[in-house]
Amino acid sequence: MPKTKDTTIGKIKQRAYWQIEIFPAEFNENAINFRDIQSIVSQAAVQYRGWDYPHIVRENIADRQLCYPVDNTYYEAWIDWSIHKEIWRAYKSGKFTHLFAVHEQWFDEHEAVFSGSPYPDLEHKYLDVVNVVFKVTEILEFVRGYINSFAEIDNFVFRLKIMNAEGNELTVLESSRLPLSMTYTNHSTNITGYDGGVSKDQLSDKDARDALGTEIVQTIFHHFDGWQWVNDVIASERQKLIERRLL
Amino acid sequence: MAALFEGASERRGLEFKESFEWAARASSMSHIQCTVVKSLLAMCNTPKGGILVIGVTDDGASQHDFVGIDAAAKTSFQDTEKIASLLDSFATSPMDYEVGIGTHDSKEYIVFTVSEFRTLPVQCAKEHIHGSTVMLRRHAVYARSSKTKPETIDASPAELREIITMAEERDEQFIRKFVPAQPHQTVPTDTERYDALDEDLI
Repeated sequence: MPKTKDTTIGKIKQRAYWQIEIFPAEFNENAINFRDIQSIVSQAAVQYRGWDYPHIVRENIADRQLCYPVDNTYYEAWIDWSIHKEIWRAYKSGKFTHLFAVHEQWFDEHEAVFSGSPYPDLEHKYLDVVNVVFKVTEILEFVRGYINSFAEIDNFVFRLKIMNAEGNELTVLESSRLPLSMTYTNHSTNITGYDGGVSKDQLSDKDARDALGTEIVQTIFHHFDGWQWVNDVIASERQKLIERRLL
Repeated sequence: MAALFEGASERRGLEFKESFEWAARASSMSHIQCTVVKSLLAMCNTPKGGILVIGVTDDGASQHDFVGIDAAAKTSFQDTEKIASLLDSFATSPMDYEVGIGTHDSKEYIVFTVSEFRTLPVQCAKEHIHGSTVMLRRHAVYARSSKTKPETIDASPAELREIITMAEERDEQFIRKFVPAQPHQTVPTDTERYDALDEDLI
């Protein structure tokens, strides 16, 4: 079956997925120049690991589509490759919407580039605590760059959610780390990590950005039977990512 | 009919006129017919309309004799189409009324029952001179006086305000009748406008 935008959305929503939205606090149909949308997203994208956030598709092949304009209103790109299933849109009104699969739930589609799937039999219900910290960090770094591209707008609404996650359990995938001692399960369909205002000043300040990141991570973890990670450990993991000290 | 006559005295919505023979042509109208036409126009512009009874004499001291109408007068009112035709010629918008014969104490009366205007106030459509007196004036807005002493007059500011209010109410009723009520619409918030953008995606 050929991979399309619709099949990709279908697969994303089949299991747990991240849903990110960012938009100006005041509606403006033409907040940014339509022809600048691609470059704004590309320049704000971050890459601390092998996979960038958001993923910038660089070629048109069967399982992905380059950023393309729709109705002179927004640009859109999607990919369904290996464990990565994503679609994002960026509107001239300034809204950025990104849906992407919780990749640790798609190791059954892992494509061996250098080796086979590291977790070929992993059930589709796990959320890796380290990946949550990394992902939230990447998202906030992107959001900082994205909103800074709006010259005249200071205040934005930011939403970060993990959808379709009922019954998901926290885990630690990296074998070098101690596994969690108990089972921590989420009982909500959707997890809202953050839904509120952010400003350029707030996200430009590293301490404020880190504090927001920690708050979001703890909010997500709290859904899993009230589990909490130590804030210092979260900060430490985040710093490793930023400094690309992942090995 | 009994309710009209028992202890009756003229009031804003009730007027008595002595018997006369209705002339189908304006040029043949008697003085009393001119006053009847004027009163009917006025009742159209009066809240709840009014009733005009023909066959009642007035002794000049507010004492009424309920004498009824004679056969000739009764015959003259039988052609309601001609009555309507003449009245319509004096009204700028349709008059809503009924005319018929009422009986009380074995005497017959002509009774006009007039409803207040439906959409627009009724103006006098043309001038009519009887003898040397202008009995009906073109563009005049007649009304039954809202003062204690009931009479048909050129609408004063008080009656005009009343007529305007009635017209506004009629206008609203007219609009409600022909324009379906619109559901209450709220202005979407900025967030709702952004949410609407990608409803197909999220």
